[in-house]
Amino acid sequence: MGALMNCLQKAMSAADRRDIAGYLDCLTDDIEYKLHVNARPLNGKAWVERFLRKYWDTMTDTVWRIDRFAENGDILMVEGIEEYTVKATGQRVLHPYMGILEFRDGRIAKMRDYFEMGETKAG
Amino acid sequence: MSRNLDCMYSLMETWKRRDVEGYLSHLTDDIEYHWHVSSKPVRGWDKMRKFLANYTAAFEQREWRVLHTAEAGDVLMVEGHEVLYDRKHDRVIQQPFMQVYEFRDGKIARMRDYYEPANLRPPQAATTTA
Repeated sequence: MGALMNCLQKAMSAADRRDIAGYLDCLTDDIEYKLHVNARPLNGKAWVERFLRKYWDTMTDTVWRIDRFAENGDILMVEGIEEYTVKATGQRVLHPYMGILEFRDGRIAKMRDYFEMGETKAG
Repeated sequence: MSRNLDCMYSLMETWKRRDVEGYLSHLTDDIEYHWHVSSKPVRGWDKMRKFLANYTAAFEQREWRVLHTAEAGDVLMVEGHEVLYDRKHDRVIQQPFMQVYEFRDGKIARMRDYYEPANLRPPQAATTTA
């Protein structure tokens, strides 16, 4: 496994533990996170932290799985799924997705995710 | 350039010429293409021919740019951008996308596209004026 994927796995483990500091430590201070291609990016750790806290507050039983990945220089691309239950409605949602992560000095500097925003029921 | 990356760029060249048979020659005959990951895939050359005919009837692909690539074994991942012309609704669509290609014996055996399908759907006005 490459160094970039190792870093992403560290971030995924932190997310699984709801360890916000551990997750943010994997990002550069000027992180630019485009969580959906049609959305404006989240810029900076503070904005990402607000997003994550809201996400963790409103979703439960989250699954974040990477099925395939490939690295090229400072670029990591992944294919996987994100799955969660919306606390307010109990709806189970599954997003197959691809993501691209750009690294700088061993940390994630840019992330862009590609998926269909319309919620897809699991199973 | 790797053999698989070369194959993908060659595939793109055939599509720019709208050379369907040339395009298909880059795919295994049991190609499985998820043009939308939550839909059932297009399987085999005959279905691909039909898919490509339907696609070109609806859209004119005016640009197909590759921005980033990464490979791992027989897997090739791509981030790109395409510009489509929606013939029915006379509009231009900017479509960022990612793709994964799985190769077998130098040909593409599986393709999956990831993008926001809502960008391709008819504009609101077109669906409400009838």
